Amino acid sequence: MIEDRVLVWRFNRGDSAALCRIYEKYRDGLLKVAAALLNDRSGVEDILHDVFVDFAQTTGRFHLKGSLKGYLSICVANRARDMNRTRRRHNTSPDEVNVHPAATDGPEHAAISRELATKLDAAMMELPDEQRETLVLHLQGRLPFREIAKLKEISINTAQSRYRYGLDKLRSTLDGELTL
Amino acid sequence: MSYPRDTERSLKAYLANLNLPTPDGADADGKILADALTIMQKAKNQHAVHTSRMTWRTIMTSRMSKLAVAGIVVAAVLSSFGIFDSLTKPAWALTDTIEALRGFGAVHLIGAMPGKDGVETGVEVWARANKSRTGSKDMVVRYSNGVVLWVQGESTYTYMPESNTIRHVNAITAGAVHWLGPAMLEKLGKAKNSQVLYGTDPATGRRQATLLCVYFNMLRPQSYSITFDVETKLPIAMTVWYNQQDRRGNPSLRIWQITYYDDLPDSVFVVESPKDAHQVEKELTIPESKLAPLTDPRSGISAEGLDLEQASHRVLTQLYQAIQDGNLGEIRRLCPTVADWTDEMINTFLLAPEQRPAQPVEIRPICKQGQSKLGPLVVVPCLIKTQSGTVREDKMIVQFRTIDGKSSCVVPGPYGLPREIE
Repeated sequence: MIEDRVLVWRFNRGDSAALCRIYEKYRDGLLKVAAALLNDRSGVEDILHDVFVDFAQTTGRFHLKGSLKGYLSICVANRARDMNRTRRRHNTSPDEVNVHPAATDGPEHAAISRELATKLDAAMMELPDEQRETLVLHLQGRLPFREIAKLKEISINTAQSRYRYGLDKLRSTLDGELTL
Repeated sequence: MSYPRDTERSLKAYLANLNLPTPDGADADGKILADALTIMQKAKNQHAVHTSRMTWRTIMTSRMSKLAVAGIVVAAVLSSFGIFDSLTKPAWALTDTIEALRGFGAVHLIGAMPGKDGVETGVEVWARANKSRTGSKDMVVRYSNGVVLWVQGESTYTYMPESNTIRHVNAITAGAVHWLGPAMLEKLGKAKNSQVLYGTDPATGRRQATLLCVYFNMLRPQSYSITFDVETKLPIAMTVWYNQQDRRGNPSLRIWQITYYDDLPDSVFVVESPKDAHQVEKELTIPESKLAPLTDPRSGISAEGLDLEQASHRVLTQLYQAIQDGNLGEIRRLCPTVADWTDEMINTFLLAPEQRPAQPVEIRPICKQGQSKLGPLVVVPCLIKTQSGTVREDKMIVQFRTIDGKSSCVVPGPYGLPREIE
């Protein structure tokens, strides 16, 4: 946290090394958040590009209220939502562009079958944007509910409810298929 | 709150195993960064860098206190100035230094400062941080001429061997304004024209980085040269020039040895003064040269029909309410010494969460009285629960004056440094 404050301080004074460091530090996490939120994952780098270009524009006047990771994650979520809507309007079929999760064993996480991953993909896409974002920001972005609530300007109860409803909806959609 | 655990677990696994389509790898990073840096450069040219800041004025009439404060503040705070040259690849960075300093709750400094006759006087400082590590709690400064200055509880004592006298002030007039932590970063905003040089200590062969910078305190420049050990990241020496932007002439303070401790025993901060020394109470006053801002008839509140206790209670209640509400106009009116501060300065130094009351402030009875050319002065302790969760005691000065036959009062500022209540 203190490192981020220093980085933001330097960034606001036009230190390009600070921007590079922020990028290096959060790139992977933000890519994962974008990938989990986008219906078409080929757009993750575009999202990252737009978020960092927008962020770079705020130099000299950027005011960090919460965590930098939280702020950037929310920016990614907002961008992803916009991109999903735009592509939906252009009638892009998710089936044509979706990149399915890997079916290999993760070293730290239980692997899930390709079939279940595909179903989860589809189920995630069916979720309302706010529920999907809350699930991803909490589980993938590792943001606490308090921070999600603050950044989204909603109550912590609302954030928790969105999370619970999202999980409930996933479970009902995938009823009986959630055994790892 | 409980969630469907199986769903949560499956979702976690799904997210952890997501494949990222990153075929472009480094190329993509390069493009993103290149575009972002270009935009940043354009935006940078549109915004002036703002560097001039001030701190809440602390009324200190003792030169030794000022220097002692400066010494410890510099050691604990300014020593953490970072490297601002983004074109170099530093062997250490500000963040490393902050991390390295974080674990230390006490410090020991050895150095020298020029005396009245220009001859340097040796100085040794022991200081210990308060519980929240936002400032110093205990402090002892020993000068080679026998003068000893120490902070005990909420008082500051100075023993002067020439007169065998202990001067007592019931306020903390020596200490670190900031210790380690986020508050320290505000100080960084004051650094100007910083430059970092690398070298090797010929005695030890250790790599060192020396930071040269200018810091504005109350709009007066102070030049610093601070040396860091590259390996430990810690500041190890420093030189300060007051009222200088370019390090000319004899320095005002030189510290050549800094030792860090997790903590220090209480005994270090116990000062045994001669039993036959007589104690004198330092008078409360404000020098005539600093009274001008306090004479504006539009400032302050009327004290007509009120005694000192009632009027000071009222003006301080209103001032802290204004701070709590973020009412800048009212703050300037009640405390005219900040009338010429910019909104940003007031926001930064008076309205930060660690400064701002979270609830009505407890105003206590007057603890000291004095006199200035304008009229009576009183000191009033105020207990503040801040928005950052700490509890501190400010001792505030209230100046009474009579303008056009009418009695009124204003708040010149704090009497010494705030004291954290642990």
